[in-house]
Amino acid sequence: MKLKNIYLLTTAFLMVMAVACKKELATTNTNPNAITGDAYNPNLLLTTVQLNYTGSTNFGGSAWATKWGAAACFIQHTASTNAGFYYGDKYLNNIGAMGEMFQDSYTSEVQPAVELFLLSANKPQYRNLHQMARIMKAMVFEQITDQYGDIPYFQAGLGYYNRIYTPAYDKQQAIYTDLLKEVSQAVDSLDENADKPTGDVLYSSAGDQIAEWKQFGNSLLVRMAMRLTNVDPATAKSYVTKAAANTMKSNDDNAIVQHQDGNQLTQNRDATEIFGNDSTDLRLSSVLVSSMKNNGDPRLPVVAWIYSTDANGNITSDTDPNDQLGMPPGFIVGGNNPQRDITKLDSVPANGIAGYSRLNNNILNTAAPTLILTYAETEFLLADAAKRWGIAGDAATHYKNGVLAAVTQLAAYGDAATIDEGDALSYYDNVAYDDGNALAQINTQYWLCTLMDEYEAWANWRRTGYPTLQPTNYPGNVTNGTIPRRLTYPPSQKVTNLTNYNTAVARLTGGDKITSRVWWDTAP
Amino acid sequence: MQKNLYYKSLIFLCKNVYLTVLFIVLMGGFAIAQDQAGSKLVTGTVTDATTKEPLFGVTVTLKGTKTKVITDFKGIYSIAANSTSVLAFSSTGYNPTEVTVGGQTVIDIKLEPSNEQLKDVVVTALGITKEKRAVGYSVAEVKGASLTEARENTFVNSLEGRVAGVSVSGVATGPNGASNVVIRGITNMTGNNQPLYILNGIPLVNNNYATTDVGGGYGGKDGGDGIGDINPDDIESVSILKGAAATALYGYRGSNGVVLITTKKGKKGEGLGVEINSNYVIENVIDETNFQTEYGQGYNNAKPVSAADALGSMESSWGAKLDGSNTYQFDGVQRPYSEAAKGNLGRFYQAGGNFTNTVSFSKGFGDDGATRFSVSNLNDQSYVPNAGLKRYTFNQVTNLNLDKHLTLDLSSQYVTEYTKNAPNVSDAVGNLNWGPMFVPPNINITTLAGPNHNGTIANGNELNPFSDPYTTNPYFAAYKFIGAIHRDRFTGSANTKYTFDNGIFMGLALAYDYTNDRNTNVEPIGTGYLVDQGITGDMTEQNVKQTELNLDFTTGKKIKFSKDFSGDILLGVNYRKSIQEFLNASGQNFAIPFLYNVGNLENYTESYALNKEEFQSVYGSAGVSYKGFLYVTVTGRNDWYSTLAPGKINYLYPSINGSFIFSELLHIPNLDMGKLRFSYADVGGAADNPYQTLQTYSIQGTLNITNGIFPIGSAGNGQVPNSALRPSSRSEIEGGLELDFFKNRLTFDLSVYQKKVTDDIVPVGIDYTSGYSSALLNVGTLKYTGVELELGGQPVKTKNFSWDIHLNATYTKGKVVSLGGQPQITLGNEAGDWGANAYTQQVVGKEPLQIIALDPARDSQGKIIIDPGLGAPDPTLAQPKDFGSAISPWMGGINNTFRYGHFNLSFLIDGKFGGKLFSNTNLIAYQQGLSKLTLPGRDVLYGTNQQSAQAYYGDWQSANEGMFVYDASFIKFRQLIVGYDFDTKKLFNNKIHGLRLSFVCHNVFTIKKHTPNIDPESTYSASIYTQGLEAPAVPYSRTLGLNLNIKL
Repeated sequence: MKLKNIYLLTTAFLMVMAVACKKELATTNTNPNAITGDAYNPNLLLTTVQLNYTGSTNFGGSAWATKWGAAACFIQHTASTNAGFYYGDKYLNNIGAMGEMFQDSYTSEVQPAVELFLLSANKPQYRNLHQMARIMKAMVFEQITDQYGDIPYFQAGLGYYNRIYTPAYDKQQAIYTDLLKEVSQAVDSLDENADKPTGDVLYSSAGDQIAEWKQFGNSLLVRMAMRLTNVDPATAKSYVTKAAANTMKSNDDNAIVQHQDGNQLTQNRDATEIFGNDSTDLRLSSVLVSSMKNNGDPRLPVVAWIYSTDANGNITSDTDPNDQLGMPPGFIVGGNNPQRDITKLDSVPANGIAGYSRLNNNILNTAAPTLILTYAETEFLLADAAKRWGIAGDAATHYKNGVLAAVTQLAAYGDAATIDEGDALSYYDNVAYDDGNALAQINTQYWLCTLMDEYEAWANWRRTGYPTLQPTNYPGNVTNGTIPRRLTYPPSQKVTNLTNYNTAVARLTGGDKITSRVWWDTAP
Repeated sequence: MQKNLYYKSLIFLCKNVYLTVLFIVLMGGFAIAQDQAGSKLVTGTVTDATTKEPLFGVTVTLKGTKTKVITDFKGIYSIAANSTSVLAFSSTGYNPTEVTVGGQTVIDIKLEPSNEQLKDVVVTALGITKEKRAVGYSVAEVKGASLTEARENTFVNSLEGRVAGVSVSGVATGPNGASNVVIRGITNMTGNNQPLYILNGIPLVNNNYATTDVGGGYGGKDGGDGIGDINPDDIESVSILKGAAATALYGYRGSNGVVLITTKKGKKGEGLGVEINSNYVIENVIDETNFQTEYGQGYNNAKPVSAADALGSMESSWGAKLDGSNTYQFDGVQRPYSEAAKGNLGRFYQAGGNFTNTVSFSKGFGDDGATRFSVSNLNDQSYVPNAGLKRYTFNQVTNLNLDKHLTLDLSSQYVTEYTKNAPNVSDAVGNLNWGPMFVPPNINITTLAGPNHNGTIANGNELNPFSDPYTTNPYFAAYKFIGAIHRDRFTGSANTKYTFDNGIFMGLALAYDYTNDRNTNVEPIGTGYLVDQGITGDMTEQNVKQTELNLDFTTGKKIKFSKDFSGDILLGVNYRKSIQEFLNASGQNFAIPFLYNVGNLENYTESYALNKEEFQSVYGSAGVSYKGFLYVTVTGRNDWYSTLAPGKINYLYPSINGSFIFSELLHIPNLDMGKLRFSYADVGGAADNPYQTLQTYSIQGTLNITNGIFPIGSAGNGQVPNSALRPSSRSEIEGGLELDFFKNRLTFDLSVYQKKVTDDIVPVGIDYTSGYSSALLNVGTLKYTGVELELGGQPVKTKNFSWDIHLNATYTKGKVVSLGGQPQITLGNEAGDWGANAYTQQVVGKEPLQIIALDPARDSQGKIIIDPGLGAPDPTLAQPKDFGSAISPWMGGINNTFRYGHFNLSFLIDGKFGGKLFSNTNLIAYQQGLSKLTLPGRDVLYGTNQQSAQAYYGDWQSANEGMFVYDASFIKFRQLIVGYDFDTKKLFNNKIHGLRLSFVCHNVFTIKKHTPNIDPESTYSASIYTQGLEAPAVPYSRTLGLNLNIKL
């Protein structure tokens, strides 16, 4: 009987133990690896939005697929004989790649931007953070709508808060109206006496963070407003006039996201996607290199080099500006069409495509900063507005400020990329302001200045038509030999958001094509 | 003294719940002291009364004492006894006999075989054995012997084609790949559909830590699963519970079906009780490719003119017609421009060898119980270069009758396993399978090995023959990438049962499963795409610890109400807690080259995550039988799940099953048993993963720059959480007919079922402009109808020759009824970098897992519209189209066994019919000009744009992915075994009690298939997200070898 008693006691003990463990199961289901929104400091999301604005976190994503594969080649900063990866060089169709930027931006930029916006709203301790959230959110959306046209805006990023799973596409005009309003109001609401957001990668270490943000916001406002040059000059003029009074004053005010080498999340996303040192198949375009060479541009040895690796892995590089050679757009290696075979060109280097200039490691490496908006760009835009409409000051002065700043802003990439003021001034003499040719000059300089900010370079070209590029007519291109005007929506939109997609496509003259134009793109 | 030992053991057992687990190990090799007392020695021989053969293992008990002995293999015993002692002789299958000793010292006994036939019993839920006739649902049993000879590293793969209603397929991911087992169709539309595995009452954790990118085809590797750890030599039988009623007592976790694995128990038998099984097989790749051999490397009909040119076109077979002239290849060497790629698979993959040895010891203690211990060593030198698997398994089962009331069953298993280099699959990154498959026809794959024979150049960097550095040199991927998995796993259970004199029993079972995985992944220094980024190698070291504790208390009683009515009742409580801990260290840039240790990394981050789940349940079952021909059982279970929203955590579900043995009433000639059965059950389902009810915020890392140190925040994980998550529900109704004719010479078992899943918890793929890729919703409704037939027969049976045939056939038809207003849910897609845009979807109104691919624009007659400029369809006008379900509605198998004298021969033929498969391999081969379909018109220019054949076929490929959706039906000659049982009596004078040598062959050949260049069963992960989508993975293989079984 002793045995029986021991057995029963043990059983009873274990049962009591099991019952004692019966606590709230909900506690078990509380994630110990994270916290809830009310306890969260939204500053951490400002960092995320600023970092992700420089490129997607998705491996294999938008930096390659759209920024370099499409925009940089369209705008002839770069060229490539690899017709697959760099389809933009030949205006070939790569519908999957063209949609990458759209796809990645909503999940890695819009989503945290919306969370940041909502978590910081109506909280006095986050008053300035909330204004920064509005500015960054607008900046994120501007970049998406510039590439695609009508996009989901008002309902976007609200999957969690409003349970909107298939957001409607908004007209670009409505989007721009709201973007301008948001940035303008945010700048006005920034308050020197309120919080100094700690998650701000751009200006948290600046002397006066809030003042810097006002200038940054106004510069962004100028950029957004100028996009409407052709389609709504009245609105453009009114916002430029308002903002011009307090834009960036020098390169010290530039909006720069620094990167940290080491992982996908923190490092420079361009370098991750197109390979820092040798950028594989991507070369600088002949249009860019000859433009720089012709004017003795001191930036050439900083941004370009000829780089090669031999079969034993030994590396040679050459930054001599006289040796730099841009690759002509629209060619492949080999093939049965001698007119399109780069190896048949008289100008082809002895060592083939390895002999063309590439993006220099100074500006393309995993720790390189991303310049998201600069004083030089702003000055060029103000010069454009001044020349065009006689507002916002003197065009010649803005232009000169722009040229000098555009050359010296490379100092952000480190000592090896620093060009002194004297070289900048001599360069200015080569490209000095010529009132009769001012718009072409201003916007060509903008094009040079926005090397590495490819979406911006392409958008400004579409707005102004400058500089004059050299469209190619590669067999099988889908633009009839013209430079593309937009990117096509990702094909998965037909699967996950078909009705709204169809509505948006119906509004596009010419359909969902890269030759169709976005609303603001009405230049001849 | 002996009793004392038991008491001590028991007290020790009871002291601490966790210590009991240790105790189980200690119990492994214990022996029992034998009392020796008495005044004289009695000896004798025990023989079979009919055959006159001596009987081994007969228990001879000194009645009224604990003293007992067992006869040896000559039937001889000796025992100390008094003249008043009574000797009791007992042995299974014989009538017990008693003799009073008196003056005798030699007592010879003839035992009469008992007339009572062993009743046909099956193992059902909770390991309860029931008479087959009392079971109102379908249970399939597979004997362990059929899993050991022509074996696979994962025993469940051997079940393929053997059981109706059970779809089994291996995954093409190397020696320790996961298995995909689906019972009665996919019921979890987006989640885990693998059954619950129970090993001797221990629920096994069967997580698969594959890093394969299940939603996007971007590569990764398969970390294996939990069920692969079982040694087939230890398995006595496998019982498969298919329907909801059969598994109702397991709660929601049984809702995908339950596979009950019973390992061999100790038993008294002939000889020493030692059994040795040795299995050696060689494994060779099966080359299914049939690519074009007319055109070589290059672009647009031109062959490479320089080394750089060759390097840039390694992924293109759009070159000139092969003419044998010396032509540059990627390494600058000129080689003849002629066919050299045939046989690349055979050249790259090597002859694999798999050697498995198991030794087991079995010992019976008469009425006190028995024990068995086994050790096994598996050494698989995979046919995948530089990959392999080593596994040691220790298994112990001890069953003790502590006294007439109390039993104690102890079971434990320890596995230590090392997977050397699980290969990367699907996308080209680090995927060693990519190169051998896709190099142009004039490239011999061995040239990629380079001067060091491992895919490196002089300085140790990757010899990269591809223009895209993300396409890894296969030799570099094989010899320089590291993908090691070290696993240590302990599973143990202690199960005690006390039965009172009045028949009431109380059982307490404790089961614990502990797994520790260490996954080491190194992208080595010199990897092409890392060099390009200035990174000197990277590494991830991950430690995953998983534990699961199950505590079950049961009580019940068998009741006899009257002469005709009897019944049984069972009540139980279950508490389960499972914990997973992930500790991760990863970083880049090794300070000292080639020292692959995380401590040697310059940039280094660590992370930790903890997943906890807790479940509480009460359950009960009551059965009634009437006159042995009518049986009814009802069950109920209530589960409380931690993974659901507060307030919605519990679910009560009932089941009922019954059987009617009509042959007891209607006497049909030659019908031994005729049974009709019926069951109904409703089972609730919880969310697969914890923490899905609230949006949570965390940090992803830190940005450390001159401006300061910034934590990088994140909100959510890409999926909209659901604060109202409630249980899903599956209800199933099943009927069946079983007929046994001619004393089991012909058996027939038919099951028909219909089941319905509602409120399935589904991460609905939502448009990412919502900021999220999915939202977790209770929206799915799914219906299934199925018919399963098992036919067994023995058409011929003579003294020397017999022929057994077993046939199974399954028909399953499912339909997605509703997705909460959404027309479809997108599962996986093959987008990758390769231009493909094929998806799988759950589509309302269609069978589950539809394959969607682009179809070109067509006119009203259905003809493809050709764009005049392109000469081909315009890819931008292509529309996604539904090409049918990835699931085969029909499957079946036929197993034949012939015995002639000492020889036997068995073979298995199985097949699946009607499913579809999207083949990315075929798409890539087409895109790269390797496919034979790209041969016509290579020299022609197409359309008004005058585009080349390469561009023309490129348009066809991107407009018409539907071309690469194939019928995945197949018939395979799966397995062949030819065995010989040596006459050990004659040859070894009974010193050896069994010796069997078999020739075995698995995946003998494919009789019929429709998928060019690939095996129709090829998948690169067991996840539902990749089913129906093929991508470059480890090619199919054939094993051939010998199995030797010795019983001592």
